[in-house]
Amino acid sequence: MKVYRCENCSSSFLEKRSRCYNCRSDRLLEYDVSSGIVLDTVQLFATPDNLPETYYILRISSDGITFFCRSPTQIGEGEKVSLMEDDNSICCKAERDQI
Amino acid sequence: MRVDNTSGSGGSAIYIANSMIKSGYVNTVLIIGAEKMTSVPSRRSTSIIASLLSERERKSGLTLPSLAAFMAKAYMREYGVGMEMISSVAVKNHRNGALNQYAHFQKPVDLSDIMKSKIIADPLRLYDFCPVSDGAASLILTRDDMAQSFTGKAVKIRGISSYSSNPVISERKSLLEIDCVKEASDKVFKETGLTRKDVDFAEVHDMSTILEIVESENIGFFEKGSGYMALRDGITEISGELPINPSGGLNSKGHPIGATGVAQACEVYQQINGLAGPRQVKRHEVGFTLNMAGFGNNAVAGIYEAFS
Repeated sequence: MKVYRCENCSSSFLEKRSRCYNCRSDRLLEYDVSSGIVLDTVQLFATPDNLPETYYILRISSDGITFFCRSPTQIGEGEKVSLMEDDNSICCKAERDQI
Repeated sequence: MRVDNTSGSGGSAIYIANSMIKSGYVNTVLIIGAEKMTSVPSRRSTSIIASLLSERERKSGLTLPSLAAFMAKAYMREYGVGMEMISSVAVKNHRNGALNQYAHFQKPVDLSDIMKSKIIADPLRLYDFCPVSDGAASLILTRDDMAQSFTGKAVKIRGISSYSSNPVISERKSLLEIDCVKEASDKVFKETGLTRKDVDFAEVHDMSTILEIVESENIGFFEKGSGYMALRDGITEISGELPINPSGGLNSKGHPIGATGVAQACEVYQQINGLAGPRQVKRHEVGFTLNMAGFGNNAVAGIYEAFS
């Protein structure tokens, strides 16, 4: 998935911006992250109507940036996950589950 | 004009109306906050409310209740507090709401009711959140020299401030610090020359129980990590040193989104004039309101006092 980093102050961003939120520099680089480490998880039982009735939200740390992603299964804190993004979702899968 | 700022719409409307009057652009403004939320299924309203999140965070399936759950877990981890302590906010606020004829829920609940209720976003349960409510509130704001022509019980806006935070939650430095709450509060105290000790009671934005505790710290009423102690020690009860949410707050009074900020000001009006009946606080000269949009996208802090 694409994330952004300021060349000037090294702040990282999930959302694309024209200027750095921290130092106002316009030198922002796009880069890819494909995996991360789970910092925390929350299981949700009241969900939006376009999504499953229950799922997990994971707080992920990867290459200097923190963000959230969704998983249908529980993945523990400290576990490594692979990240997938398409037009409608940012999801992840435990690397232990991959062949 | 229409002011649409999600959960902060009411506070923003008051902020704008106050600015328009102070600038001399208008003399008097009628502010109406209203929301009809029960006409759609709850999963649809969850989806609509989640639309205020940034695009990519929304894609992750994030919702406001899930953010509150992350905040609660962070608070418990940081300060060694149990879930029962956090949920005690709902016990207090439902007790207050039971004394408020305008509240959505007018029935006290105890901790065992709460701990048996359905989990919404683990570890937070049904009673840890405000209900989905319909509701409306209104008030008239006018120039100081015209106030007496409307009522003998006018309340003055001593100061009102607003501040915006990064709406991308995962980019914030800490889950336990809501910049806009801290900055809007700092600004309004600086603007008025008052201190936190001058505030007699407060209405804050308890969309979730954990938010009342964290906001009370971010506003500066209590030190970091001691908001729960104030709750535990009864300081935030109606009879306490600093009553918080004597109306029942969003948790019991309800949170019809666009009406909430206006309803907070209405509660302050009633309290300052001694018209709050069984939920009347003892000291009621200076009231504070904190209305927040989204999960801290922006906030409006207001300080009110009797008109003299």
